[in-house]
Amino acid sequence: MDMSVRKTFTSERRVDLDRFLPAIGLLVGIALWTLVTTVTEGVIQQFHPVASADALARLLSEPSFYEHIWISLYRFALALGLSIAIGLPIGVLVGFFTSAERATTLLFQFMRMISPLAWFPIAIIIFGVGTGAAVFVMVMAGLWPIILNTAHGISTIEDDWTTVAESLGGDTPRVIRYVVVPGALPDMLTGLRLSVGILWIILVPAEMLGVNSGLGYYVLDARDRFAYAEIPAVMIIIGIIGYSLDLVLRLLLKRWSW
Amino acid sequence: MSLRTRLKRVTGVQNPTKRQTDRDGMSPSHDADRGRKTASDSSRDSPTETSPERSEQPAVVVDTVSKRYEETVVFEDLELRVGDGEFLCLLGPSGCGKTTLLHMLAGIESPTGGEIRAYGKPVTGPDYRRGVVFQKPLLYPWLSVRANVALGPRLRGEQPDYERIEQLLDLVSLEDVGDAPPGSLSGGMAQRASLARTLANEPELLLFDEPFSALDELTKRTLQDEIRRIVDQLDLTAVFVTHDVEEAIYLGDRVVVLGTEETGIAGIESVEGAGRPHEQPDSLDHRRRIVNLLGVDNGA
Repeated sequence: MDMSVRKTFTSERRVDLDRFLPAIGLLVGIALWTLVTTVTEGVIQQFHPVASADALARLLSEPSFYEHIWISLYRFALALGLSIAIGLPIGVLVGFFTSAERATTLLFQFMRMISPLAWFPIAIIIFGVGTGAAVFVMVMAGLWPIILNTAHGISTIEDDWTTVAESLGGDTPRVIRYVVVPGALPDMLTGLRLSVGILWIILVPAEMLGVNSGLGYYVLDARDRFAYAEIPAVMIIIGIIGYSLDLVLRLLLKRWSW
Repeated sequence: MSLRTRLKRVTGVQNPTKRQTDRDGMSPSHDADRGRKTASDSSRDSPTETSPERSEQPAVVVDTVSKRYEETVVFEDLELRVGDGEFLCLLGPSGCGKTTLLHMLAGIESPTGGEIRAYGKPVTGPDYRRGVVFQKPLLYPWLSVRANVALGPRLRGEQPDYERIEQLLDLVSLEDVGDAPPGSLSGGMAQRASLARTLANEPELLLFDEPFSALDELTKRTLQDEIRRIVDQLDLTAVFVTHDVEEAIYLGDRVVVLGTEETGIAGIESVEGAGRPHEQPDSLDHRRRIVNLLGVDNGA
């Protein structure tokens, strides 16, 4: 009896502590940031959290800054849409037909390992400076997790599910549509989540190289204007948006997992 | 008469909930309509209606079928007929090939030699007219119970008739959980949903692969009664795989005992008209003979 009371007590205390751990971790990070920018001499001091918070508040009060956010989100959405539109059907085919998988595995694993930024010169030659080049580079990064995870999900789908569908009278296209694709949805969402993360990360260098708008561009522009405190401020915005995008995918994954 | 018409009449005439309670558990009517070809015929169909439908042609003919997995011979020159309207049980110990035989009837597996014909046509692959109820319910978790039941027509490129889907849910007493996700169902309910999904395709032949083996005794008995009722009411032909002697005697018109013999069949026991297995002397006689066929010492 005593034991159980004690046990409840300690586990309750742990739950309380658990709830605050993420905030504590975040505070430790901010503390380290403050420490480094306070004790260090020179230009690093300009990245101090207080100066950055100041810059952040100023940026958020400027309507023109939101245009950079929107254009970045637009490029991200475009690249994600293209990655899905190209990656999903390829992934389904590769996952369903063994010969398609054998034919593409080597190629895809090879392509996946080439840094998307290496495509930049080619992108500029083809699309010229602008959104086209940036989106192309992003797609070259975001495509692979969607293809590979979709294919994996489809090739490892429960045999029983397809057997039932076939015994219910389904032909191959309908079995794919009604059973195989929904059955592989959790793996597709995992691929989508990885792709979203990669696209959002690649967005920043892509905008540094090929365009003159967006959050990536703004980071470089702040440096050129010697507005150093704005750099961590924009980084915070980038982080918050990226985290939110990932959160949405995590919620979707929680909802659709079987 | 199509299954659709039969189903409409069946569900229209009787109140399923009432029927369910009447036939539940240990009630005396547990096996009241066992002699389904005699007593139930009068309430089901007038003779003039059924006779043109019930042909002399067997529903299934297994013609000198052999099945081998590399060196292992499962069946050799197997001959078996399933009569139209018959409820045939395939009984045998684990590994005797009863599921293999059922899968061959379903067209999920192919014989190494010989031929299987269903209603005169060779079985070459799965066909919705030979509906299978699997050992596990295998409902699709991303679909509601109702959408699972409606999937067969969809997979065949037809728009599901939702009025009929509701009638089927009613028939298996799942009318209140149509919108529920399959994960929320109990094992017995999931197996009923699986049966309704198979029935939605209007099969001529129902193939059951030990559908109750994972259920508790009470649920199993209730579902056995329901299977008999549904198969009788819809006037279907059924092949039922089981390793449970009582279940085979209770459900079947004939029990095919599979064993280690080269053909695969140790013997066939006709149990048509038998009473309730535990209580009636007839059933005990059947039981003794079947257990003998299984090669088990009865005194043990």
